[in-house]
Amino acid sequence: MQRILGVLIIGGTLLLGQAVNSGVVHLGVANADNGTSASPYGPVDQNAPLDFSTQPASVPKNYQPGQLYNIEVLKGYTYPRVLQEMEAYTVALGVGCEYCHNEKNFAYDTKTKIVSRKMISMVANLDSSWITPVHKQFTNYAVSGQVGCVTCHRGQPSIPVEWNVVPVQYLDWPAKTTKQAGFVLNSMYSVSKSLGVNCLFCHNTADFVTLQYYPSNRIAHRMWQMVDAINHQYLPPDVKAVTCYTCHRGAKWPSKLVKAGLDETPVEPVPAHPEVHANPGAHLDPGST
Amino acid sequence: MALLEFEEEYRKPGATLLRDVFGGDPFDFWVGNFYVGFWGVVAAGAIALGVAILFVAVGQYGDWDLLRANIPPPTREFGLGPAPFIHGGAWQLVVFFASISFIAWAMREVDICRKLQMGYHVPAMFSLAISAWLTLQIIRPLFMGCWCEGFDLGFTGHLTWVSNTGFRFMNFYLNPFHAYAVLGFFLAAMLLAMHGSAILGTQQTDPDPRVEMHREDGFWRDYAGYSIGEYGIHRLGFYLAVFTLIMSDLCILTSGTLVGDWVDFWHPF
Amino acid sequence: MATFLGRPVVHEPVEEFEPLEPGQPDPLGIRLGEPTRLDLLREFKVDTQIGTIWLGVWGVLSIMLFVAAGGVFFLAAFEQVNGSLLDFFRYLANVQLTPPDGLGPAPSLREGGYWQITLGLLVGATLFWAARCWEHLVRHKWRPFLLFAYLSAVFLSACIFVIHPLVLGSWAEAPALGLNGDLDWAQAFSVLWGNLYYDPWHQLAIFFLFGSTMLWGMHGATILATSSEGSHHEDAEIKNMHSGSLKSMLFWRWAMGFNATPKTIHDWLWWFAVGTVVASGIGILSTGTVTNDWYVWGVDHGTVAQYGPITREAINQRPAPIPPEVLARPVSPPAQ
Repeated sequence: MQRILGVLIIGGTLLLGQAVNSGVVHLGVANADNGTSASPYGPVDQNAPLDFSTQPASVPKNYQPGQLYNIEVLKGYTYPRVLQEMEAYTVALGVGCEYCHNEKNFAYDTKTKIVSRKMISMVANLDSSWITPVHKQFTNYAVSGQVGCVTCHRGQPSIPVEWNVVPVQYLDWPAKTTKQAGFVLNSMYSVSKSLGVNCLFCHNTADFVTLQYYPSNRIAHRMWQMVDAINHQYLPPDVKAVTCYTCHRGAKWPSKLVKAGLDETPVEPVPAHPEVHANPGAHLDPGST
Repeated sequence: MALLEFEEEYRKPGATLLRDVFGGDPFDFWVGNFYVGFWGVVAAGAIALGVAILFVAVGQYGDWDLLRANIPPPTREFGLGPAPFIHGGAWQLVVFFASISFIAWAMREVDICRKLQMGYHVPAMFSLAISAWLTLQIIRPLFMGCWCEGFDLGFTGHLTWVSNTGFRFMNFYLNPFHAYAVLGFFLAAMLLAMHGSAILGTQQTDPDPRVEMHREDGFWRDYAGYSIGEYGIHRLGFYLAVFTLIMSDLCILTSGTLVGDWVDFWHPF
Repeated sequence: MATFLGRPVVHEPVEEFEPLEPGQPDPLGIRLGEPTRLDLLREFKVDTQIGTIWLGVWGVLSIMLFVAAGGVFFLAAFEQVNGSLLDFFRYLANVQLTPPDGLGPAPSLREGGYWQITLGLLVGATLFWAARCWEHLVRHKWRPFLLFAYLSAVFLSACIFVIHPLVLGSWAEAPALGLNGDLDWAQAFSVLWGNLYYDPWHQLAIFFLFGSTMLWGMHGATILATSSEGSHHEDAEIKNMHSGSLKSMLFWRWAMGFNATPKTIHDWLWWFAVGTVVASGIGILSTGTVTNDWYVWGVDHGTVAQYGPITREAINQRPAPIPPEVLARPVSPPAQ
């Protein structure tokens, strides 16, 4: 009788874990949102009539191929150089020229083209404001390479919004109440899954609050500020937010970095912290959790 | 250490495991209140050696404070092999001798049960408690492939280990075996309070024992609708402790071997 | 005859439990129904009589408030799963009533109102049950150990849900009501206050908690091992010890050098159990008051090794208000 009870208890628990497998909200994570942000800035309708009244003055009514018109972000680039850039965009987003441009008039400002300008300047700003300073400060922990369109887009025009939880700006602020700390913890889980690591990669769990000396911890702080900047300064208001997952895709460093115009760059492994071994039980399993 | 007034008639040689197996037991005597026996000698020896190594190791690490002193296990690169003394060998030795002493202590309790012609319930329960130690320090590290998985021998050091191990698996509260074990611990505390209160509360002067039993049974029936009885409550407590210990063993045995992320356990990515 | 390791196995005598007399009618309550027998329980060697139960004023009030609290909880839970019964069971562990910020009444039902109502009902139910406990202790002429044990558990709950939030100035310091909500609170509480493992009161509480289970193992095993000699008739044994109790005492005396008596072991049991909850309560109360960070407290008082450089400014920043310009920003760009 007791044996049957024991089997029922243990078996029931295991079954329960598997049975509520599909679609259960991640425990402790409030709004985990899995999917892609279907972009409203989709392919340009090539049959729509061109309305020049809303266009800037530099857009010509009679477009001549081979000429540069209406250049804002790529100022100073030669025509072949512009074409080279454009080809990189098509590979990075997995789209054709017709996705952003009206093929009757490549200079015409479509909605998609306007958003793309923001994206291009964003990439430049990310590298100069966030990525390069991290390289300089933590030479042992960062990898060479810079972000490019492909890092987020990975050959798709839409970006994934998996693990879309919580106020990233709150992460960089000391929690005010236990309830607020709970929200921070939920986001921490999303960060963990996005990077494929466990808590011990950035934290000394003896004290999450005061022991923030791991380099990965300091890098993470910069990264949140970057994500916050992306979401509030560059993303158009009707697109869901990016999270760590968008670039990292479950790896400690994004696998699709660019270097001097190349789409991929070989990356060096991130070494484990020497501090970890002084901390009882803080073993990092190779790779992830 | 004077004898209790009835103790004399119970202090008789014989009935130990060694005597029944080998026909003689040279260690069948008492030292003060303590029964020795063959297993007592083994336990005393293992304890003495283990404590000696402990002192040497703490001396080498330098921190003598009782709460801060810590002996860490070997690091990952040694795997399941022996490690140099300072780099985890001390830990290995202390764990070895401690395990020997715990098992010897349990066997000594078996000998005492045989002498007193009691059931073996106490050493059985103690063996379950030892199983928690063995699971944490020996069985799970063997499954995980390195001695580094055992916990540090130190007062606050082992607490840091618990904290780190918990967060290594993201949220250990979501381990269902852990949840059952916690439930078992809290129920045990509640049940203990109830049983203690029942006995202490009924210490009256009425010499008729049937009055006491009805006052106990009567109270619980009025209060909660059921009285498990004076035999039943001890069964319940015993098996609750058994259940709690088994769940505890399972909770750490499945972590790292079968499951790497207890949040993920409830919803794979 | 069955043997184990060479010794005969003795089964405990099966005792017939005497039926309960119905007792005098009492104007403040009634004994409900007739006692029934559940013979299945004989397999487990526990008492087979189910009932009767006393239905008194305090008990009825307590149950009513408890059921009301449950009703409010399920109402709020169904609201969270948008009325779907399937989802309710799927997400049963996740539904939670969260407390409001600040100390006043909640701004709305969903933002803490449900929590406050449910907790208020539970507090009432708890206190009425304490009255029920007291009533029965008096009726059956028991000394009030059970009441003090119950009240100490209530003390712990009060510390967690009421006193600690009041002291720190916000209901949001209290746990949400719900399975994972409570677990999240435990996790967040420990992370926020510098890891509760280093709180000495928490350490003491864990000592008493594990000790309680250990004592159950010891005491339960001891009684079961000597029950063939009647040691489970503990009241009778306290007055006049027979061989079962004598053997129990000798076992522990020979094993660990000292022993309790059939009466004093229950002192140990009671104080360990009550010590668990009282130490926990004190630990909760001293968090945020005695110190903001238990790890740093431990390092300062020499109980914990220092694992790395400590950023002390981090603890002094709590509770720090989030600047209004950060609060004013939308959480994320609005969903399409």
